[in-house]
Amino acid sequence: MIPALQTRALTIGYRRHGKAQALLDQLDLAVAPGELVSLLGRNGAGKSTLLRTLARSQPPLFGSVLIRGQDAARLSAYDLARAVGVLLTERLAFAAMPALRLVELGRYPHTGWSGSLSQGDRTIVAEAIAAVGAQHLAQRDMAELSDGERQRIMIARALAQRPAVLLLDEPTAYLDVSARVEMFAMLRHLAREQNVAIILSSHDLDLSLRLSDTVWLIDKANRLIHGAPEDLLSGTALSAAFSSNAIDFSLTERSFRILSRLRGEVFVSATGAERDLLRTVLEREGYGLTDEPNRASFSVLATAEGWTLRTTQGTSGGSSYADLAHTVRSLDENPVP
Amino acid sequence: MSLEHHEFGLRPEVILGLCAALLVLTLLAAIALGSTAIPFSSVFDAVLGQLPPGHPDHDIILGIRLPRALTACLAGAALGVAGLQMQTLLRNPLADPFVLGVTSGASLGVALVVLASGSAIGTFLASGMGWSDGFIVVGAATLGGLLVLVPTLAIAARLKSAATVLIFGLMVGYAISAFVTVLIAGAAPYQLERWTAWGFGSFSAVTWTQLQVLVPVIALGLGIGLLSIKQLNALLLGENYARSMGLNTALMRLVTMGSASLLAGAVTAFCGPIGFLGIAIPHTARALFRTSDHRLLVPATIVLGAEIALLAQLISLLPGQFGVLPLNAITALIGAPIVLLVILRSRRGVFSG
Repeated sequence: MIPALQTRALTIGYRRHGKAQALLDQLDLAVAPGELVSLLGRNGAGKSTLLRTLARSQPPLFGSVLIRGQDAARLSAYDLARAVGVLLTERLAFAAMPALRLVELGRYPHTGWSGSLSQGDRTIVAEAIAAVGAQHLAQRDMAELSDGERQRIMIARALAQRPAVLLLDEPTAYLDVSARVEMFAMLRHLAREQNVAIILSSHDLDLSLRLSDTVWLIDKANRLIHGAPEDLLSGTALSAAFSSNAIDFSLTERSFRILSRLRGEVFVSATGAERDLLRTVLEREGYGLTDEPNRASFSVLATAEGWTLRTTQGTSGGSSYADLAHTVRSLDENPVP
Repeated sequence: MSLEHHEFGLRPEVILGLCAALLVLTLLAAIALGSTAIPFSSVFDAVLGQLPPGHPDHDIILGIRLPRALTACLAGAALGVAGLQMQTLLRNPLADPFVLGVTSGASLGVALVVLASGSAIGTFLASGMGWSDGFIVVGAATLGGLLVLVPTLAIAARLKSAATVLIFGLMVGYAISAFVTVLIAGAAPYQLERWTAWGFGSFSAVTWTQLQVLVPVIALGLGIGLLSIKQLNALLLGENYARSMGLNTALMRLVTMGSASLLAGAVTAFCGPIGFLGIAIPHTARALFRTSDHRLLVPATIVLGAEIALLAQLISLLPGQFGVLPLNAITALIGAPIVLLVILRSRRGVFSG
């Protein structure tokens, strides 16, 4: 199968005063039709530069990009637009324009000089709107839509170009939490249903790692590590790329943990969700969990009514997690009676 | 579904038709009304060629009123389309040839040609200009307009702030106007007076000979506008998106700048620097049709431009036998409130784009 997008010895970066400054070099990547790729990395790592180079809005320093097996540099502007759709990070001030009209603009590379749409074009536009689940927005004015709705319409516009590859630069930026999840779920579905390769950059580690087929991770040494999310999770790549003195990437939580100097350790007698909740309360107060009762400063026991805290001095109990946090916080000054 | 329905339930094609009908009526009024009262029957006879040359009504109608009305239509359509092109290209609702100094650049071109050719400014302004001279002056005015527009667009590409671009254009315009004033300062008093009159703007000084230059030049500029409707629509999303959809943005910028300068330059060369129409006309079209789709906006701007310029021309004749009002004062009185409305009505601010 011909990959939707492929890079050959691609080196990306900028030329300043005739000097090449490479951000990433020797990239040999391939994305199959229907594959969802998340591009992860810190700000300034070169995510946007890579996407711009793949979209041909910036020339590579070296190497080439192949779209459906064809060298992107040799495609005409229209052919490129029929192969690659993009979503940019720039926020647009939309003039009075119904969402449908905006999606119709995506037919630009397929229409003649007058830009008038055939019945076939209209069908494709309607399909693109349906594919992003925005039928109910079609007649609304762009100026009235929420950020998430606009992003959907802009993606439908890119889809109406009928591209092999969608390049989305931070499609979930500006979106609120639920809109982020919806956007990711929609893209996950879209890639498979439309058999289009999607490459997106994101700062949403959790969603990217859960829903992508492949992760491209730019680490601190400016290397691009790629693989299935689970492959990256099981290695040290993710924590190496994102961890610092203050935070640590947690494999089980697929998220960050704040590192702080531990005041001590606690033996917790609880299971499942209750244990998790007790752990986060105690972590916040500066205590880690231990399985060794001997090393513990105190112990916490989950009970039917709530919790019981036992120190060498005595026992106290309560029903809410707020009470527990309060009791732990006051342990230093007033040991439990 | 091609074009959106209007809120009053009227199809946009119908509104455009009504505007065109109104334009024809206004055109008739512009021919029938003037400082000399001429009965309607004579007006029709003159237009239909029933009156002999030399008959005073014939000379007034065919020699003065008809070319004046046609010039107003052409100038309004030209300035409206030039304004629309610049607003879309710069993604700036307040851009127009006058504000961004294109008109000043065109004045500079006119002044330089007039001074270089050695002919007295007065002769030129008193419509002693021949056919080939006309093309030279239009060419110089267009180049003068480009001289301002090119750096302004370069600034616009580098600085994303629409306000900065506007102020840049305004300042360049002022600087060039000042330079033109210095150039002209040495002229004889009666020439200066004529230059000042030209600066007020007028559709009256254009003869049939000059119309032979004005018509093809403006037809070319409007033709480019009509043929680039698809490209203008792509630019609604900004140059980066337009490029991603297959538009050759560099070529489009060149063509649009060229045709906007040509339109504004030709009008300025023959009618003087006319302000506000370039902003007011496209916004009137947007407000009337409630759309930013250039498939409607370009034809609507042409029709409304002709209509508004004719109205301004008619209003300038209001004093009757006591002379005419300066055209620029009328266009400012029409245009300034529209510009203010644009600023006040945009909820997120004009410069959010």
